[in-house]
Amino acid sequence: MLPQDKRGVSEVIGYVILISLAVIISVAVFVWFKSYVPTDSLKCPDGVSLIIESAKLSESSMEIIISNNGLFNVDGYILRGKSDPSLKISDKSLSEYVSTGATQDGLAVRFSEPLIPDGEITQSFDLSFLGNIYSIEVVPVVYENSGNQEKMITCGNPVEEIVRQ
Amino acid sequence: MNKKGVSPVVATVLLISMAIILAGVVFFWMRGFIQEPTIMSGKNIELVCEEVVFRVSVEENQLFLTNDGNVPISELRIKIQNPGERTTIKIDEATLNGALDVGGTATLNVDSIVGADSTLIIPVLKGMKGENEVLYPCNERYGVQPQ
Repeated sequence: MLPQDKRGVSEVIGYVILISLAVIISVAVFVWFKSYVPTDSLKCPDGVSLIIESAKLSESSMEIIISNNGLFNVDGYILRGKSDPSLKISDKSLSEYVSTGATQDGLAVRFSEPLIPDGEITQSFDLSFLGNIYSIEVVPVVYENSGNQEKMITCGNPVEEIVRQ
Repeated sequence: MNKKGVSPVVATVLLISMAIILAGVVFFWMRGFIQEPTIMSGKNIELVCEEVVFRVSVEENQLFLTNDGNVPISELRIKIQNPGERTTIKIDEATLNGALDVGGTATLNVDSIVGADSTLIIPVLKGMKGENEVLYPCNERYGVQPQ
């Protein structure tokens, strides 16, 4: 037998449930999608560029002259090298071997002062702990503030220079 | 008989208060059922995977990698395809030891890549899930095949 009492929930309770559901769904959707909203990534401005003017390799050290041929100041660079001329990409990080003209900062070499456009700087590297290096590549870096932290940003494609045939 | 109820203003206030309280209670109860997203650099790590830029080349059993982007790579998954067989090799954090931080290079010896039909290198990033650090392997579409 079907129940005779056809009363549902009261109008007030109905509204309460309806509004509660709407609030819960909206909060859940907001929390879930908040992390998917893309924020601006830290990007290097176009026109940041370094070139290797010259590279002199001796028995256990290397001296390079780097110039800024871009439009903006450059704070440092990443130096990598190939230990075998047949390799397609560099296999050695060389930044840590910097001996004069700058300081090492993680995997990068950081200038004591930013290198201004058309500026030139000479850097020495002590490579006595490494074997032969056949070519080097330089990637410019700039530092930008992100929140309370200074973050290193790499700029563009590496510039390669053959230092040993 | 006094049939007056509460005033419309009081009724509305009561209605909204009850709705908000109920919504809050149910939301906090249900939060445990919803998977929390992994965050890196203030955004969902799935979006960060799109920004990973790295190159890989192979010479016999050696893999050479350089990180050319601005996202540090914590670990790697190497998917190797051979006829009738697909294996995944995990290169963990201890092995890489920060070598693929921004601008870094790494050389790995992986014997099983010799003669493989195809090899795919997939980056694994480190993000935060709530208070905990977690490793997040990017989707295969962000993987790189050696040059």
